[in-house]
Amino acid sequence: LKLLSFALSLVSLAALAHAHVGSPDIFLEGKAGPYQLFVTVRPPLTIPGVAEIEVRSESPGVLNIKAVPLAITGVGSKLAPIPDSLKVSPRDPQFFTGALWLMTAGSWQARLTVQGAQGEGTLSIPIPSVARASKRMTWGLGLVLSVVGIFLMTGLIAIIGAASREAKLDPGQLPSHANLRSGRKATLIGALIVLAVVSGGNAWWNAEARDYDQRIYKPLKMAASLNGSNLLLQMSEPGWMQAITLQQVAYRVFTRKMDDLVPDHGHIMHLYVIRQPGLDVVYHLHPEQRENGSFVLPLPSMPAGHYKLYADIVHADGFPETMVTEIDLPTVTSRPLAGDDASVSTQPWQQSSSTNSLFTLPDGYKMEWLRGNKPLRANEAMSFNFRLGTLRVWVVTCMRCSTRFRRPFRGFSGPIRPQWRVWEPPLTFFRVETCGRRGFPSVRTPVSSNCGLRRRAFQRPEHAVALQSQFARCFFVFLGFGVRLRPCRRRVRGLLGSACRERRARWR
Amino acid sequence: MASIPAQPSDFPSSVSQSRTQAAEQTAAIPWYIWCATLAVTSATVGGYWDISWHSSIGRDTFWTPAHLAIQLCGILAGIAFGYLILHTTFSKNSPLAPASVHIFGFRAPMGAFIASWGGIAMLTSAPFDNWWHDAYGIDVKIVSPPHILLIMGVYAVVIGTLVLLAGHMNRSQSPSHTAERHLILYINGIMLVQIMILLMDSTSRPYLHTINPYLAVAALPPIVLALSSRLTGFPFAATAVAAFYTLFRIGLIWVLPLFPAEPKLGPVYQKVTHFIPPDFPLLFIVPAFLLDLLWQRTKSWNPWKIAAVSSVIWTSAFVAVEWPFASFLMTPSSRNWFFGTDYLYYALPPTSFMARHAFYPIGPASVVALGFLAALLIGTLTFRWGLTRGEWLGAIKR
Repeated sequence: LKLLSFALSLVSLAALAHAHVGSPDIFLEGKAGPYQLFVTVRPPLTIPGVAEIEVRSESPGVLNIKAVPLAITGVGSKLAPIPDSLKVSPRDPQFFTGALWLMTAGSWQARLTVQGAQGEGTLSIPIPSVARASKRMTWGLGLVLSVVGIFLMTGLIAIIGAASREAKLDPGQLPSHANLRSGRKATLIGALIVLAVVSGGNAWWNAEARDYDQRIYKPLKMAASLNGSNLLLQMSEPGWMQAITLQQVAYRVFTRKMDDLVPDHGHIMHLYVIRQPGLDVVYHLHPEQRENGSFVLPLPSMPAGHYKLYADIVHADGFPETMVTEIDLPTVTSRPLAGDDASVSTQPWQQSSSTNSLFTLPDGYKMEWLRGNKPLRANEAMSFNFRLGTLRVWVVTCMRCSTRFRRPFRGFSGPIRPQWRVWEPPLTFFRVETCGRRGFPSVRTPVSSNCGLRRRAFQRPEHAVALQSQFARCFFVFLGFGVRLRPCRRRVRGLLGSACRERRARWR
Repeated sequence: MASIPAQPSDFPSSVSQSRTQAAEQTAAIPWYIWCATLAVTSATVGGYWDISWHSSIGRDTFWTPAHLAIQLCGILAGIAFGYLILHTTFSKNSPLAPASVHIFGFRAPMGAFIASWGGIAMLTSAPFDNWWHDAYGIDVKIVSPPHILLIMGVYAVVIGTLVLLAGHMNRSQSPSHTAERHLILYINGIMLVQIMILLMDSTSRPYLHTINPYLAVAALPPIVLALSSRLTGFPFAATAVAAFYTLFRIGLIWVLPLFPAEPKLGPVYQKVTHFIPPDFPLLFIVPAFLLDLLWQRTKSWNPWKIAAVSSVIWTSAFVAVEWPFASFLMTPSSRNWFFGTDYLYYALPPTSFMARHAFYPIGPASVVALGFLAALLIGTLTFRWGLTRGEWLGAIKR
């Protein structure tokens, strides 16, 4: 979400395109001792489940990388299971892949231990582990299991009938009419028993499915109201990972509370207020916690409109959440922005042409989107090519996952260098690769490995993403991507990975 | 549905029939019964090994030794019973043809069909379980629908073996059937050990001062004990079956920790350096011994009366010995290699009752009283069912 605000705040809306993102994947660039790593973690759809991990070493000499999943806090963070060695790619000795078993919901980390020519180093990647959906049975498997199931049912009924009809007969003796009658009666009773068992099994299956549905992630709810020029935010629990029964209290290692929020970058809550539908007014504000689950914010002067509110919080165990709500605001005439607050206004995105590929930036530069003829498709890796002005063109690599660029987002100040890294500066084009399915892989990462064709239920066509870019006239090129639609919030959260206090401490 | 032979000519001639009978008078236990016995033994060992694997290492694959042992059950059962069904159906000179039943156009002894049903159920549970993991996560509990299908399949193989053996014994003209009866006793022991896998969660140590385990043990073990007593006719059959279960479980406590193991999954809440065995066995042996004494003296009673008295003895004696013994198991004195109460599953939260060596609250007295009444009622029904099935097995010829 910070990235969203960052993107929007920088926008003067040079170009607009729609791609399909909506991925929960986690990207992080960091140092494991002397080794610079770019890590991608793809959490599983279900918990317990197996996450995929890919590590690209940007430093030479890495011989072995071991990965182990650990809880971020508590006893589970101290006792580690045996780590797994990641498998090195036969084609690329600096690319490693492996699996992480996430057995419970909660705040996890993948701890990487790197061994190489320059010694050993470690790096931790925070992973919010939540079940996101359940998987439906495929038609083919359903058919096969149904056929076998019917065979088993009829077979069992036939066995019961035969047992009553023939089992006690002497060898060679033919069943009498009484035996046959007894067999038919047993068959009927057997059929009733089997049907009762199958019905009971079906009810049990449904109960298990309902129980699992209760464990599918539901973010905290938030209601917004206006009291004068004060914005009131009230959080509420939708009923996810609550410890109610005695057994849950004793055995559930992760429960969600509302009274355990910890500051993240100096604030309990970061609120992004974005006017709809134009995305033309963006505020980054910091409500104060009044009591557990209740926040208040004296609004700054704001234009009237319908706003979407995205509130970022972090629990004590490092588990991050983004709450979303909406509110209609009148024109607010109040205080100016203060402290870390920030805002930006720009042109509504609808006023941009969806066919025009040449745009004038605020600083007067021209930017051309080299659109090409290839249609934009959801769930497919795409390359967006841009030409800036007519003279200098850059090749940049998307490093959007890097947490280091989070700091500038807060105050819209400071260097923004990590977001796009200059790859080969004095070339004809700068090239930004984005991946509709997986996020934004490094140019140097093979697209095929980072943007595999595996579908995820999390992604739906409505998770459209507005790509908005702006280029400043300086030596570096800045480009921001804005995620407009709500279902994408977890992905963005994952990308930014704001959960981990440990990581925060490291950045600081 | 089964096709019934309409004419006597559908059966082999009386010559071959008499040859069969003559052969069975002198023949030892046939190879397919030994094969099936090995299969159920393999599944039982594999099942407990797998549970220990999940408690100690956590992560598994299709090819873990424990899984292979379970799969060996399917392979051996497939060989034994598949051969039996195909040979009896298609061979003109099959000695078992007169002693077969007819299902779906196939002929074979009754037990072969039951065990084959179990094999197909076991096979079906594999893709079902795989899908279950994809849909609802990798389950870490014993009782889930696909696991129950697998357990039902294994039980069907055990029951099929028992039926096959009972049929063989009843057709045999041997006066004593000593080998058969001992083998029946062994398979009943295996069955009780397997049943306790199903009841492992509900009879775990922290529950032993609640009504749950006493309801659970009234539901299934009485069937096995009553059946083994009626079928074998041994005076202490139930005691022997309970002793087998006790020794098997104690053996696991003594043997499994000798082998090193470390968790390969997180979160790890308990330090584990070796394989974790199951809980100390429940003290079935005391009520089983009392039941044997009862059954020796009540052969002429009405079966319902036997079942009702058996249920009272079973439940009251079991509560009388297990309740105080459970208290002992929660004390530091039991945390040693013999009782093994300090062997804890690697992912057991420190807040859990098991890790704290504490009992669940017993619950309201009215609930407990009703629970014990329910246990008596359930026990009566299950003892009656076990006695009936024992008599039925003693009479089957096919």
